[in-house]
Amino acid sequence: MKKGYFYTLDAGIAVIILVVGFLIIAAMYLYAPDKERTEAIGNDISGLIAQVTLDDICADMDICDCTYASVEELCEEGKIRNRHATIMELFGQLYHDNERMPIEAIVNQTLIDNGVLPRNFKLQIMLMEPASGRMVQLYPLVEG
Amino acid sequence: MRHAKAQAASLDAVIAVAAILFFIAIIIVFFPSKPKDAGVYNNKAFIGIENADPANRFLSGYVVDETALLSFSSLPENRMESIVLNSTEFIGYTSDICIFFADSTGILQINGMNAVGQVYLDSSKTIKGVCDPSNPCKHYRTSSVYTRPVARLDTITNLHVVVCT
Repeated sequence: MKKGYFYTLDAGIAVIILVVGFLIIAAMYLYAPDKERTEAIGNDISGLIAQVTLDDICADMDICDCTYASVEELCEEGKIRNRHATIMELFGQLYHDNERMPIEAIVNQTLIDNGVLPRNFKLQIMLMEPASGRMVQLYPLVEG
Repeated sequence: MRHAKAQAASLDAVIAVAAILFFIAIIIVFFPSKPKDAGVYNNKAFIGIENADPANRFLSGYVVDETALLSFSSLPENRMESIVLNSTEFIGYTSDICIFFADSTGILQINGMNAVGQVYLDSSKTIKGVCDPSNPCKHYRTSSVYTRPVARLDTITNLHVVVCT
């Protein structure tokens, strides 16, 4: 009788320790993405690419001198029609010209590689075709 | 008999430890860690900076004006602080603020000038020059880190405003 009581108590304490340990570790590691924060980052990224022009991120677009190699390369190849456009306008033009690869390179260089987008977040840029209303994914690049 | 009991108890302990380690492994493997960047991304914290008088308005949307930033950096401390904190809930009981630009390549300075572009005010409201972004509040509690991606010096970087209480 005594022994049974002891073992039951032992098991109870063990369960409590396991549950407390689990809760402590889970609190350290569990992360529920904050919807508001995700929206705010999305707003900031879309605001950024809609407002920032190529002049803002390049030393001199008239001579294709740019901090970002992908933009500089496009400029030198004469693939940028408006050298003073915003990043979003450039994306639109590149999509229209069926130049999808540079979009990926520009996003990677301007937002991802330099840590502007917080870690643990992923980015997807979609475009809606005005004529068909179809959603097209600009970033990341999806073949086909 | 006693030996067998001791053996059973040892086995019990080993199994318990193994179970705990198993739980820890499952949690680490299957649950992502919290983001290291705890910045608050929203427009609210930057309203004060965007609405400063034209000479000191160094941020317009997502673009930094270098001339205005220089002007802003030379303002008296209390003026600088009131501009930044104007739109936050911390005005009136703030000890320090720390403003800096940073991306994965590190902290960006402006035109090689000491501390311009990085502003650190301590509790006595004197400019300390460079604040330490890895420990911006020193011994104070970090209240909030506000972050906005901006274009500055031909690059896109993050503008951080740290408010300490």
